[in-house]
Amino acid sequence: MKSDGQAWALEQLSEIVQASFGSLEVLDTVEPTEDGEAVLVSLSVDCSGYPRKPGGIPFRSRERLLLKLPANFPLELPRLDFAHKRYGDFSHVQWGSYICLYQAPDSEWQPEDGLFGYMQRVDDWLRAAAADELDPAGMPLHPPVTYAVSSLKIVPTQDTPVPEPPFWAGYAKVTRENENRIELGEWVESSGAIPDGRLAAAVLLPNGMPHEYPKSVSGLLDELNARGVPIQIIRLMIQLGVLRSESGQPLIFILGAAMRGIAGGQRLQHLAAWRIDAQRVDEMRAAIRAATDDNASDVAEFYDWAVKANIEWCSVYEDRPEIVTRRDAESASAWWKGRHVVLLGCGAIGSAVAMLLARAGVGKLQLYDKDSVKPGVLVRQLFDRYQIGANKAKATAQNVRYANPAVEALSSPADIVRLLEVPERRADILAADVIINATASTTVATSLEKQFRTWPKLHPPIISMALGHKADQSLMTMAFQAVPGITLDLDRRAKVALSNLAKGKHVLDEFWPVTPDRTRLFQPEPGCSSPTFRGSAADVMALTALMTNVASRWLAYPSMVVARARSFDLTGQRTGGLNEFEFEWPSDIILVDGRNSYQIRVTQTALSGMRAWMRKSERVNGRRVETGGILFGHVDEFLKIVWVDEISGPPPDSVQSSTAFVCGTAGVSEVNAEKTKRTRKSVAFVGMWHTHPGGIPLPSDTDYSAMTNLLTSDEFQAKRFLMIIIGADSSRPLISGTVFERADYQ
Amino acid sequence: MAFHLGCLRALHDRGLLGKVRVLSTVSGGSVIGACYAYSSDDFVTFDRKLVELLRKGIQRMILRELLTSAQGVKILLTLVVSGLPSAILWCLSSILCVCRTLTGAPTRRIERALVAFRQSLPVWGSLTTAFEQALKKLFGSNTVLDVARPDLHVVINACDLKTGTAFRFGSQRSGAWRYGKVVGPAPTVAKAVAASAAFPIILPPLIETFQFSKAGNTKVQTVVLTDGGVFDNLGVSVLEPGRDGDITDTYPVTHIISLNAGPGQLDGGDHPFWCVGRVTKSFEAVHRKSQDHVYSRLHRHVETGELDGFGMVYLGQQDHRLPYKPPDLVTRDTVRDYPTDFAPISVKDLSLLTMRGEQLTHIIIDRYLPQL
Repeated sequence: MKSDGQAWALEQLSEIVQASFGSLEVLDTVEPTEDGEAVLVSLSVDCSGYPRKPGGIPFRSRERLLLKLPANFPLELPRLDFAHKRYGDFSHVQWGSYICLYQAPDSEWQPEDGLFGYMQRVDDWLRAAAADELDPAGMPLHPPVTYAVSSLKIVPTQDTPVPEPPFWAGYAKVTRENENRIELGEWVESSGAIPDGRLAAAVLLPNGMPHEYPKSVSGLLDELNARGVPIQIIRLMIQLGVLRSESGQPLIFILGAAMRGIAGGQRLQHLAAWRIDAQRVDEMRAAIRAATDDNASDVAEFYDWAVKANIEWCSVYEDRPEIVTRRDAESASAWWKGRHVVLLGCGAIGSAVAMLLARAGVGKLQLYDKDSVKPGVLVRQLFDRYQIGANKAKATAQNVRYANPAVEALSSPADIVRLLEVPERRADILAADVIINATASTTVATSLEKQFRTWPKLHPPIISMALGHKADQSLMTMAFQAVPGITLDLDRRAKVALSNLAKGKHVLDEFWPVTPDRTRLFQPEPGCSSPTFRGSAADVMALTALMTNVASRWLAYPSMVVARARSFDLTGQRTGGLNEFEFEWPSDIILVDGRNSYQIRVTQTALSGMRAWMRKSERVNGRRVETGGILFGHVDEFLKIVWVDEISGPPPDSVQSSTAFVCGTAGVSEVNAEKTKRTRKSVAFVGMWHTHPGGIPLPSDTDYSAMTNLLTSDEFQAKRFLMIIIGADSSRPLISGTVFERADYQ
Repeated sequence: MAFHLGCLRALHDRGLLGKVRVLSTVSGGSVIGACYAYSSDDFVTFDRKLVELLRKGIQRMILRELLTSAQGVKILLTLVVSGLPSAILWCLSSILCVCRTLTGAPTRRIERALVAFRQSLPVWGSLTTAFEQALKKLFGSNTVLDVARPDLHVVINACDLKTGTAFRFGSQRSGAWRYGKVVGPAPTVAKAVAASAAFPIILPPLIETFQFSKAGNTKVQTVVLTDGGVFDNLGVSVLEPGRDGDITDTYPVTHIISLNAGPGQLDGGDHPFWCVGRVTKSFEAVHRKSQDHVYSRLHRHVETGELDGFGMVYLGQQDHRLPYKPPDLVTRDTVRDYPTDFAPISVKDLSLLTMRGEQLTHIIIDRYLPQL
């Protein structure tokens, strides 16, 4: 009984035959007698019109083809065979007669095209086969065929040696194995020292093999012998492999032939793997051990077996770099391959980043975390239940090695802040290509700022990642050596930048909350756990993957002169518009305070503002009159850093002359209040600036007197005062900064 | 113009004026924009000359043209030969229209003929041509191609009343998408500015004939040009992301700073009932709404990342909505009613308007474009 699909196919076939004017004939049709059986159609095709070129299949004027239409056509592809096996040596013809029409049927075969599409493909195939264009230049070659009968998979991981004629004989080290697969590592030539450990015997040919590999051992030995490989060599290699295998283990024989690569390009080794089962290996081992110098019984035993044995071919899962193009090769993640990465913190973000980097082929991972895996974190951190109680860094290293044994994963349970205090450990960390700070710890951020600011050598890019309190937003920064400031500094800059954007309020509220409902902490185990965020593994993975991808792009296409920050948003609460923000900051102007050793970081924006007021003064009052204004920023007493983010021009009640600038106060407190409120206390009054037109930017006697009066009076309450002086003129400003401490005057 | 001068001072002081790559001007802004773009004076000299011009007022220059040149005669002749008959013809066609409506008399063809005849009457001169002649004193015979500032493109926006589309005089090209690109001699700066600033309620349109090239064809066409603000009050259309450069002018930019001397919200005190008043207010209402839409679109471009930044420096800005108020801020109420009629400006008004422009520019750039 024909199925609907088969009936449809036969209808289409009839139409094709009619339209072909004799080029295609149906010789015979055998319809199924039961449901589910195939329809068999014998076809005659006129091949005289296909131009033949050297190397192409020498079709006869008419070829007979056997078409097998399955019952569930078109969901299942028909099968097409030659009615003979004359073309079995050609690639794309398998099992002697089967015509390999599709490389990837799932994407190439369109069921809706039915037999029309299929016969069009047949026509194309026959034309290409006659013209030897089935492997067109630049396209991958059709690999030779071994009909795998073993369920064992062989995974070669290293590029093969290039065999010189007549052949290369040696071994591949077995690096890992289980019941599913055997992984092969280094290739060792037989003429050299034979390494310890389990080995797979290997022969690599500089030329090809038949397109279909032999099924019997004798057939294989004949083919190899014909290619100049003495049978004795094969026997000796197999026997050595047998001796290097323990009882109960199979032996693998690798046969390479130069049949892999791109048509028209260099031929690489196509590897086939033959499994000699454990029982036979034990028998051979026994024969070898029983043999003596006078009685080479093992040799006879080997040939007796070889004459009658069949080959158990295995599937080869390629992992050789020369063969496998990494699927992430064109993604930004390719940047991580072979890199040395330090990962501070192996919690929610760190444990996930480590796994992403492991899969990206990172070369070396140094993992740091002092905490242990607790049951509660399994909900969203990439640890397994059996790892409860293990140090997180150690457990992450274990997971990394499990995912990609090629990664050198080192772990340390040391406290990061204390570790950074030790110069040698600090040097270890600074040797990395990139440092990822996934601790979300302000102490670590402060420590990084403190330790690296004074470090005499370059530090690698430092990426910091943090999640919001519901793991639906995240913030990432990247610091470069050329730009001062690391995590702490860049978080602060991001905060100030967001405070200038009306649409950035949700990010500001998330990471720098001011309302009581957000300042309350979430302790999953009240009294016994550190405060943390709420969120699932899916939330954490989604944001971490996004951050890692963006970090990859930043690193792959670096702009070494800017620091960066970016927010990520998966809240889904805002539609349209932009709910994520990315910032770039050029390097600050760095001033060193000679009086109290502060580092003064003046943003380019602030400097640009001061120069604007200088230009105005030069334009309106002439080049000799001093001008000035107010400085707004932040002071960190511990780090001894003063940030100057924003400035103002002279308040309206200021007095400007060529001998002095007396800064007014009108409106200053209002402006200060606005900045403090807007930036949530990150930017506030820190001092004043003024100019010394045409002069040097050092405090004058007048300036020192003014500071004495200011810091000894009760009117000015602050503990310190930053004075920035700009000398020369607006086109080539010379700038200095001095921090005056109230304590200096007491 | 005085407000714009203040804005330019702030941009100059911040080192941004020299970084401007495209100057797109509309209406009264075209006068100061052209003064800047087509002069190579240093900023202080430019500033001084502009202050002199503002103090003197362009009105007087126009009046002098009317009284001392052939412009007055041409306008008189136009009024006599075309204006008076035009009014009579309009009355006649109106009467016929009323008759047709009341009696059903078949007068429509006659009315159309009268309209066609009226529109064919010659125009030798108008207040706008006098304005153009006055502007020639400022810009001489410079054409729109003769930009004097390095790396600066200029677009002077007008509106063609025949097609209701933008007509742009530019240092790259002049024309309109309906007509094509102007070929032959480049238009003068004076003509471009006069067309762009011909505020339709006060000034008649400038009727000009150009040779256009479009899709390989060359054609002579007459255009009726009026204030560019009718079509695009901010002149930012050419700068907006996402426009098809094959159809119209486009200038891809990263940041847009809009300097707008409009007075802002209506105070609600008027009761426009009669024709002129209600048409004027209706015009203003449509104008303001259109402007709001453009602003909102530009903000959206920034939100979506198509623009890196947008700053709106607006004379009519509500002071309480400013990011912060300097203690000496010149308030909106102090200057919002100052007329834009090119009359001589007093020292006090000049100072207030320029200072507000300067202050607002600093405030907006400080807060919204700090990266500049």
